[in-house]
Amino acid sequence: MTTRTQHATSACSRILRLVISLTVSGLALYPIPVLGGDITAVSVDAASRVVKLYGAGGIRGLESYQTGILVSSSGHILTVLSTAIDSEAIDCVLDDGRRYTASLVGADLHRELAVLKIEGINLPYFKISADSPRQAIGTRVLALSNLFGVAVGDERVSIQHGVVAAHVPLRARRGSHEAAYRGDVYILDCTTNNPGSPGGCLINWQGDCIGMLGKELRSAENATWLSYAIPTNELALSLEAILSERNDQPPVDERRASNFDIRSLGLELVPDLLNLTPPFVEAIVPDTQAAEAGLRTDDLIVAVGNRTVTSQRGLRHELSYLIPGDPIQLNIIRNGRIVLIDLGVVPSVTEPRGKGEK
Amino acid sequence: MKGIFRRSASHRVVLAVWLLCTASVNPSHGAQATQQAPPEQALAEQTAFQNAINGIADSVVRIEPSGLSVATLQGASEAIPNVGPSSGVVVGSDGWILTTEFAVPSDIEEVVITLPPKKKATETKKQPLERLVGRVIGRDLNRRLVLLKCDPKEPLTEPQFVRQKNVHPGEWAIAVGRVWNLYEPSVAIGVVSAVGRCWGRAIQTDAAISPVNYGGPLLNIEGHVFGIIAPLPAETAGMSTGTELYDSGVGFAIPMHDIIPLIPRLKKGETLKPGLLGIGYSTTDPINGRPVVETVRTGSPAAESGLQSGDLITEINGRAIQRIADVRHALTPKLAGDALEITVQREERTAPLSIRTVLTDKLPPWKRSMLGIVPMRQPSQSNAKSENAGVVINWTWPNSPAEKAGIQPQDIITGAAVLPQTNEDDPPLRSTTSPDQLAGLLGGLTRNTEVVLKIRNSETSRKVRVTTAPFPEKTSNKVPAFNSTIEAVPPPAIVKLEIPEVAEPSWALVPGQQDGPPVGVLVFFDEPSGTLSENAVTIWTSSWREAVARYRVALVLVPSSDSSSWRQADLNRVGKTIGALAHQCKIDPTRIAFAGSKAGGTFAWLGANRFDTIARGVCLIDADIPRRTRIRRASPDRFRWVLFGTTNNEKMNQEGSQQYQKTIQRLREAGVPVSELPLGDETEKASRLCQWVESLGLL
Repeated sequence: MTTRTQHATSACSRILRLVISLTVSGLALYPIPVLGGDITAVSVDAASRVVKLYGAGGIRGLESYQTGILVSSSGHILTVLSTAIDSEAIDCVLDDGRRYTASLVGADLHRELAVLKIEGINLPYFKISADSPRQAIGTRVLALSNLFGVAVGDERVSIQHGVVAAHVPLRARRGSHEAAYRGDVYILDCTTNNPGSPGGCLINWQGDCIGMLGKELRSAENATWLSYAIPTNELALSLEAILSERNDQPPVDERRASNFDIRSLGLELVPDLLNLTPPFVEAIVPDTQAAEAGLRTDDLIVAVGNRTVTSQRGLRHELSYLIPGDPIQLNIIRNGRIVLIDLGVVPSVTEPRGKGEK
Repeated sequence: MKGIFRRSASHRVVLAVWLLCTASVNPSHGAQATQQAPPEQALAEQTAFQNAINGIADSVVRIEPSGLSVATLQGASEAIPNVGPSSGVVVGSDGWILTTEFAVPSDIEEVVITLPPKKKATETKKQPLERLVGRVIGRDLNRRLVLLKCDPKEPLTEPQFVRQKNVHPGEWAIAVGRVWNLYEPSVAIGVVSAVGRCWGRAIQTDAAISPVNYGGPLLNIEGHVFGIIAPLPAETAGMSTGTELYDSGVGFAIPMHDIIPLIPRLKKGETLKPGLLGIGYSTTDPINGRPVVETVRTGSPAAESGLQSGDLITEINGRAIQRIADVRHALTPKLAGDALEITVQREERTAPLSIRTVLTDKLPPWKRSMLGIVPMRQPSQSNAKSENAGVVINWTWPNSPAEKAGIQPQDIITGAAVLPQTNEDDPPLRSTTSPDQLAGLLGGLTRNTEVVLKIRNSETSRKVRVTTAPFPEKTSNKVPAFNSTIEAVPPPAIVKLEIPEVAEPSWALVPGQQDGPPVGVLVFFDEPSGTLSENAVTIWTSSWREAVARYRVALVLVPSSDSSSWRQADLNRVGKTIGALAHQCKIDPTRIAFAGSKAGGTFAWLGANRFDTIARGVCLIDADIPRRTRIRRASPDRFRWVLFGTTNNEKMNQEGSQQYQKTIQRLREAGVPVSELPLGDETEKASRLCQWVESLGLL
């Protein structure tokens, strides 16, 4: 090589080395969205796919604002079904301040979700997939929503942090209204039970949408206010059902389909005369499952599994949740002591056998 | 020089690579966020959380609601049932489980425990879990913990405990429970907010604590258990149970390093109770109050070990004490049977005294006694030595030990000592420069206790021995008046008391002669009638003018916010009214009482309980205390004299009368002095009540 080329070459190498070293050192100092991701970038990016919704509700303490998630580039929005959504025109504001009028496309009464549509093109959105994996307990999450309506105009929704606390089937209520959806949800260690939060987006720290924030409900089990999210795979089923205009019926609580009668196992309870007659055992038919399990006359049934019962009606209610194959475990009180009784499993054919003469 | 890159082609490759690297991978429009690596620290912490949870899962059990107890809502503000499923921690692999009293209320001896699944949850979702009966073996009533024993088929997994006092504010706190889902634990994550809370008994955390994890473990980031989550209340916020705190950012856990030494005792079946000492202070302000012993209860560990009224506590078990709060911090974690070394500074001696005492679980039943001395009135700030350097007697109670010993009005008590405490024939007397000091010395004594008094009058100085007698059950009408002829002094005046934040004013009929002796205060609640006009007040108080002047008692009327009933919120105005009155005239704080007629009488009871450090007596006229009210046992630092007045107008029906007698009996059993007083017309009522207010100074 000639000296000139050599010079040019070495000059180029030096420049390149300088650039590379600057880049590397730059990466070490400032987390660029390439190596060592930046949580700000993740949440800002996610927030661009979350919208603020304003309806014409606002009666009797029910808020008329909530949050929604963009699920298509043309402007489909997934949110919770509420009275605010149930109005003629819904205002939708993106995080950059763009205003749209949204209309209701359809609703899923079972999961209490709704799909709205705004006229947009090339909008940022989350792909909601039915294959979204279940998130483990302790997974760190970020909840993006317009809680308390503090984000207005072109402001981004608010971000809260927390972890996935538990997986449970939803058993919730608000006042006397019991939530229709009884599928699995994430209980969150994060206070998302706020006005405006329902419909918000739950993401992990990788930026994946893992769920949608649920409504302001209380647990039917322990009366605490629930912060929960519906997992993405359920959202996908709902979305698909609504868009294909399928009437997605709930898995018709097969749990209630059982007309299983405990007396078929050979135990007679005292006559249920009053509304609240306690479930005392009156008689045990010999050579039946009940006899084998060790039940005796005067035993008082106080729980089925881990559900307390205080009356025969309560006992029937709890038993109605058992389906064939479920184990029947009773807690009884005998002479002031607790005795645990195992009555086998719910038979697959609910034919009364060994029924006493009554 | 050898360049790194030999050929121009490699330059282009490097350039391309570099460009690719720095290209902003911003998937803003269109697809899902692709492969952005989250911050490593957050992921590492997430992994640590999940490892900690997985590691503890086998040691966290669920305790089922027993179905045996009568579940009562004990004042939880958001109606969270006190009994429900709860969690527990394995402390012994052969079946020892530690939990809190939330799971096992005091009337329960057995519960059902559900063990964690043996294999990974997801595979065996329907696998029935092993359930066992757990028996209550031991209880720590101070920390609200319960130790259960069950008999598992296979050994349970004991977690690793943090045994040293090694918990630091700011470190991660992972709260685990098993209430939501039997097959998986649940988690709430926060930090340690503080240690030594709840008067030295608890770690505070901002991890979400609720019935969801009561009884469960609180872990550090390594997955070691440093506390058991417990429903302790924030007492200063007026809570009695901890369940009100569930959504607040405040939660408590009992530190393992306090629990571990107690486990052997719990295994033996002991019920550990809070330790009691038996002393009272002159002030209820824990922050500013000097730790000076005011009352020593007869028969208590304090009395037996020689603590005396007037002792200033400087150290407890080597820990420096500067205020009453420090004493509470030192005492509250202690149990009955624990020994204490208390260092005090006693008045006469200069060297500090060291006193060893053993705390008890129950103080001997106590009833107020009296000598029969009624001191002259003193205004609030009576710490200054009066010119007489002693307590001047105003009058003596008829047929009392003091009267029988020849103590006269105008005698001055300059010193006193309680005999059984000192065992000497001629014990050193504590000098008494104010009625408060004398009240402190005598306040904790029960009847038949001998007291030596040094008495001085214009002629002589002598020592007198007197023995305390039971507190009187009847009021006396031999109460001397301040002014025998009321015409000689300025008449009482109606004063309007403006209360901050309240629209309607309160009113008072205040004795004349502003520079006279301090006044007593009687706050009277009649049937609720809303705002009071000056006219109405003038008419209402007209029958009281004579009594007010004669006995120098200010009569105070507080308006109800609602014209048909008294409300809890009205209690706020009562406190403020007394404060406003204090600005207008000198009040003797030992002679403040509440009284009320019918609905006002019941309200007066509520007021006296709320302001139980201010009101020394409460009079219910034609009224009874609210049903199902808990009656606190009498104690020396809470003087309450309950008077039941009956007028001729009210004839109680049979049931009412039975209830009424029952109330009197309950109060007497709690050691509270109770008197019944038939009241005639308005003037007589005024007179008797004002005399009674003066009597509240009785020692």
